[in-house]
Amino acid sequence: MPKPFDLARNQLERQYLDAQFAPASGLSKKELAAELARHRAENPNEPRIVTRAWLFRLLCSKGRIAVEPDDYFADKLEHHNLLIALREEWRREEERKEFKSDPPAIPGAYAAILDVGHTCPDWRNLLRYGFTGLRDRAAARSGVFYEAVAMVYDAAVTLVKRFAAALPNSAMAALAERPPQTFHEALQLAYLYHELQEMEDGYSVRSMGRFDQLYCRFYADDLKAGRLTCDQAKELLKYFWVKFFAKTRGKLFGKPFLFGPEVNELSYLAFDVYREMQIVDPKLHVRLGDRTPKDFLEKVVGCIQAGCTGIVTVNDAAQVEMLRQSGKTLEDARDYILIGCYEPAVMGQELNCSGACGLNLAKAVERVLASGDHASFDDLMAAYLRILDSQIALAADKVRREERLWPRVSPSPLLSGAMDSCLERGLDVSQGGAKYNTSGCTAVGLANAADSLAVIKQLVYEEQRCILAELRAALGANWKGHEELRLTARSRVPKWGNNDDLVDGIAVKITDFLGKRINHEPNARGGVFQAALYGIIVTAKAFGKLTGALPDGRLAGEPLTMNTGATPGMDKNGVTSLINSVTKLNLSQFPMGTVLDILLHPSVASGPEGIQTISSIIQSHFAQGGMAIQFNIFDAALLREAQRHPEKYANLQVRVCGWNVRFADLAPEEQEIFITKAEAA
Amino acid sequence: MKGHLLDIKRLSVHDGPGIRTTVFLKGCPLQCRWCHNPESVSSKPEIGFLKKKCLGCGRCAKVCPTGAHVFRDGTHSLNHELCNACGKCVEACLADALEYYGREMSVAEAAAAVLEDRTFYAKSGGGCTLSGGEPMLQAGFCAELFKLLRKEGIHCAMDTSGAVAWETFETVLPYTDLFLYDVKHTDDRLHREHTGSSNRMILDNLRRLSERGVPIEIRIPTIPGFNADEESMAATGKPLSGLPNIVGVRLLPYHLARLKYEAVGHADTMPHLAPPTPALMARLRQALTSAGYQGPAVCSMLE
Repeated sequence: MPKPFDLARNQLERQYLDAQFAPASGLSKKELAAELARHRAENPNEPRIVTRAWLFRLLCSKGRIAVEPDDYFADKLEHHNLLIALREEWRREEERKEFKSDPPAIPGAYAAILDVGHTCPDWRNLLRYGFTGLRDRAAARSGVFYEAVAMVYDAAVTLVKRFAAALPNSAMAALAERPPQTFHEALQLAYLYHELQEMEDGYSVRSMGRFDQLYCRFYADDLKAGRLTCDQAKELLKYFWVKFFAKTRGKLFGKPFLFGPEVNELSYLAFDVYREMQIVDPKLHVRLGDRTPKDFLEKVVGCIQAGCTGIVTVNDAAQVEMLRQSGKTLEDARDYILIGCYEPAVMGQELNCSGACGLNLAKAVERVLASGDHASFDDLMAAYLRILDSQIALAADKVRREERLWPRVSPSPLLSGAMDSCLERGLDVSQGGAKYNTSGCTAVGLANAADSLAVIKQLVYEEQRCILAELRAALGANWKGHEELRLTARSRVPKWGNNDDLVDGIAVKITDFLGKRINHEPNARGGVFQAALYGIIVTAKAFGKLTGALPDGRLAGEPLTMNTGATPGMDKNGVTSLINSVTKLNLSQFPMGTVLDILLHPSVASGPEGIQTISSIIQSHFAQGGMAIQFNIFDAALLREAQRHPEKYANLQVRVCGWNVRFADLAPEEQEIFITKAEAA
Repeated sequence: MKGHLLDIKRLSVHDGPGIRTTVFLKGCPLQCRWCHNPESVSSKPEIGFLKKKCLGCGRCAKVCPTGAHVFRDGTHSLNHELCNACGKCVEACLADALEYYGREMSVAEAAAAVLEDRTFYAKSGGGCTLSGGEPMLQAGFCAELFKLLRKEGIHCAMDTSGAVAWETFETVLPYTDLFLYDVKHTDDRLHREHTGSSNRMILDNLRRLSERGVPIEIRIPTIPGFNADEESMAATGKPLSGLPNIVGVRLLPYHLARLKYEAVGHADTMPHLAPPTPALMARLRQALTSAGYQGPAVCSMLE
């Protein structure tokens, strides 16, 4: 019997660092690699999906395993990332052939990749059929694709049997024979599937599905049958969720679980557990709508208030409508989950590849200034949009070429086997087997671009304080020697996020252009690109490094702004004005997701009144057309103190962008971004 | 009609119900020693100098017609006696180190600024609060603004010291949904000593106002060395207990604002005593209740 969670927590958080894989339980990395090499030599013309499935089976049947008697779940298989190594070998080979004669890309203008990580299986199928059922479903049909699917699910059953033998665990024994029937079995299956997916496609931010909708029947049945108490369910959930933290140690991304819009007893229980755990992973996404009960909203907001920054709330009605407009059936639109940070997709029906490309809106400002003089601001704005247009064309083209390589780089029989449409069509996800095949294109640095263009409009064309050439010279010198002009640009021109029509109007122009330009661009998998408006810190820093000084006063190399927020410290009119600015944008043009970050001072957000304040902010944002919102609640003094004494504030969390982390785990320059924001608030 | 404004503060959650926008008006008949908005006291426009933000560029001195900005030994100071508050330096300052207190704004402009956040008022049961200073020194402006806002369905609250002639109340009463009414002390001698004025008119006005059917929230600033003791609080609670239409009492803990005195060049009169602790605030709240006041009593501080 495992210990109470609180007593075991320290070990559980270290479980992947400390895992001991018994040598007797399987082959070493060298031996596994040798078997793979032999197999490939003997089968030189084997379809790649079969080679991957074969390797998957090798790892499941002969990889070393570790079991922990003090755990409710078993999941540790030593796979040495061999499937990923194989994928990367193929990727290098294919990309070399495809891209070798390409001219060099414009540094920092866009990023375009093959995104195989933003996925979500149809969790319903997993829970309905189990590994055995999904194996049998594929085995009943013939062809290379079905063979590969049956092989990986059979391998999963083999692995389940090995775990069951190593650790007398009733959940495991059951899953070797049939679909899950209890809450424990369902969680065990979900976690093992999660691990196998990571083994197949690498670490990424996949969705864990609509948690309360999927798992409540198991929980309720257990309670009814007297197999489980509420407290035992909490313990199971804690042992389950802590694994997600143990995987990331709070440092990167994390996995989202979705709640609502209909809620049930499990929704409430889950938020109680989450609040008790005070943990940065996993992430909980909540679909909020008119039907959300008030007490549930208060529970969610209470968690946010208590410092659980892993929560994002989304505007359910608006999201459903947006998905309908982007071509989904109503039934499918209602069944959306959020993949990655906030990227909507139909659960198990859509492969949204939301991370396919990123577009640097600020780089285009730099480029339009370099492009020469323009007679009017309208001319300059038109030239700016033409540059964006060309950046989008180049990025989309690169993604399409990458996507055409996908079947030869990374077929995913495990994921495909859990998606109905792949099964019906006999096509792997890499071949466009999903019902909806979309690719994301997210625009980064909206505040930088809008603020910079506003500076040009006001100082150059309206007030004629300087000519473009002077501004160009100042930026070329990284503002050195032009401090007065820089201060004028910073403090005398309105900034995005203050409900000012001059600069907000520019942001509206940019975003309307993006929606029109991106949303119907075809991808190479039979679907289309979809626009997104968020920028995670990784992209904001990477693009920022490659972007020179900007008219908004930003220095060369500094990170770009994240998501839809203002430049740190520049949203001086506060939260309501920021929301008023952001909701001037037609956000339904961003079906691949967008989010607003809100920073509140504790004096505004404390106590029972604070819960009402936060709830009202969420509801007001949604009433004005906002799509998703996330919170940080702290003051600058607390952050400074935490910077000086990380040991005392080990559990202080901050919402960074698409994910949240412990403040202490941020780099000093990243910490500064939040301190600047908090000081301004 | 124009008003003289100090500031417009959005997402205000301690000045009446829900999420509100508080419009601060300049000028006050009282001279409370603990005042945390010293820039609000004088009815005349003033320039505030926030030393911390100054970059020492000297642009302010160049445009100043009276020589009020002085740079000596690398230190910048503002001679408030020479300053005629023309505001040229505020325009010139690129570091936001100078602020203009008392800008003019029309009723229509103020209403438009308030209405920007109407969704937030609707979702939270909030609205607009006029504060100061003493907003009712500009009662005509207040009444016009409230009239306009009420037409738009906005809840209007008046945050007042009560230290104005009763006729002033009549001007705003038809358009006010809630009064936030300061009661500082029932002892007149102490009241004179610490605020410069008698409390008689304030308490008389309160009695008259309470009979007019508009809800009133009493607000008691709790100031160490003045009323932050159980005896004073009990004395203050007594007259409140019999009054109709009192919807609650809120204790506002004293907090320091010394830098603001420095910014506007006023002599710092704030008491040199530590702000009340949460434990003391809890005791004071209790004293209020045990003295006879039976309505809801809250504290704007987590106890």
